[in-house]
Amino acid sequence: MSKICLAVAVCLVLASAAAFAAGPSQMSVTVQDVKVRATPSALGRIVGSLVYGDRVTILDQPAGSPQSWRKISMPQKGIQGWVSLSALTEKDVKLQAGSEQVQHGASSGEVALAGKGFNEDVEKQYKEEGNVDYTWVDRMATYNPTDDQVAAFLQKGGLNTSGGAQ
Amino acid sequence: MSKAMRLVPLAVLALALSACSSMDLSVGNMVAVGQGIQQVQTAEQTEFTPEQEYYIGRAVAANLLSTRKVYDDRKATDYLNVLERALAIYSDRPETFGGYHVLILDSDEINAFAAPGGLILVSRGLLRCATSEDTVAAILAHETSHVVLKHGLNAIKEARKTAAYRNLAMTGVAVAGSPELQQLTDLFKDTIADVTNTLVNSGYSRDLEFQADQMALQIMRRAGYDPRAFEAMLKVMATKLKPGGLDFAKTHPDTKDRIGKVDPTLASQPAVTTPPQAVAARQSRYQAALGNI
Repeated sequence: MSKICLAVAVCLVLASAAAFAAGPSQMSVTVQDVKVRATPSALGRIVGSLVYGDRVTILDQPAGSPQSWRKISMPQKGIQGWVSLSALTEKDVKLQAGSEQVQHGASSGEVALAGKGFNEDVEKQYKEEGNVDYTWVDRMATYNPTDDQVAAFLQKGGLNTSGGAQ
Repeated sequence: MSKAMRLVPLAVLALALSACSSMDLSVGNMVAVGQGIQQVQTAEQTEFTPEQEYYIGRAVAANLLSTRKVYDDRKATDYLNVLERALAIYSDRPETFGGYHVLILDSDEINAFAAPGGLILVSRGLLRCATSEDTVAAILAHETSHVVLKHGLNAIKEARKTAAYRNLAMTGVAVAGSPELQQLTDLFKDTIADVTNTLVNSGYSRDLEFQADQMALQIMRRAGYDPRAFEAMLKVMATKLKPGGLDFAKTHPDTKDRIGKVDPTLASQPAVTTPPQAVAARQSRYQAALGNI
């Protein structure tokens, strides 16, 4: 009995140490939208899209440095693939900063309330008060070359076509 | 009780302490809920979220564009945006909240601005300093580096950052028409002024510019461009920048100093050799897009 208890105690301590040493098991999307790829490459085949606040499970990550990609799954959307780490945060991004969210008093280490602080309403008021014209800024946001355009550009120019793959 | 049994509570205690160490114990106290805003006291924020950075960047770019004319050439602009994406995917931050986008300013000044979040404005005057696609890549890689390194956000005064972080940590959603929204908007205005003033007047510190130069070399190399084009670009700028000018001459370190800093890096790394066919392809599309800039 005593040996079993000792084994349980040791396992508990080791398990806790391992849990805190490992990376996060879940992450959230922290950009407006991001493509999920079949391979860890910015030009990899697109298998789905994620949007701001989507919570994903971290499955795996490639060996080598820098480890700038994460293999994720989001069963709710039926998506599994690779996402650039620059589009993810360890915080749980909550889109609805409603009363329920606030009542729970989540810490900023756990949660980043989307729409808080400088947001669309602030921008709207800023535009109106300062009579600031966003026409060109909005137009700029539409300048989004496709993957095919970028891949062809790199290929024809004799550049690196790996798309950041490791 | 056996020794082993006595170890169980210790193990549980160790587990609990381990869990506590990963939590911020100073957080989680709810405070009064005002009429216009829901508040909760949380741990202190230490940086702007990508979403905040996005709104700051949009406002900074809008401000810069309020006194500058856009060079509305779709072919040239499309070319720069494909080139920008080709570079950004090899940076340490390929994704930002709203993505990287480039616009050309219709100005003879030798100037460029990287608003937080990835909105890059580059003048015709600066593009005229380029002689090839690789040298244009050098310009964009430098501006991209300012975004990756969040230099624009560094320009916000410390007191303002503290106020903004406090606000971000303490408030829920400011309701339209509320005094809280007005307060946030006022803070936003001051924040935008800090960044814009730095970009236009004071410039980043010499160290931050040198940092962006070094990162630009790295991005170019990863993408397959010849980093020596960065130095070539600086040499052209050195001949064109006028002392006392209101452009890069005012906001950037002396180009000779910049060359002095990039030279050792270039010398320490193997040269990038570009096959003649690739040189021709790049030059052809560069001429087609920016030949008449």
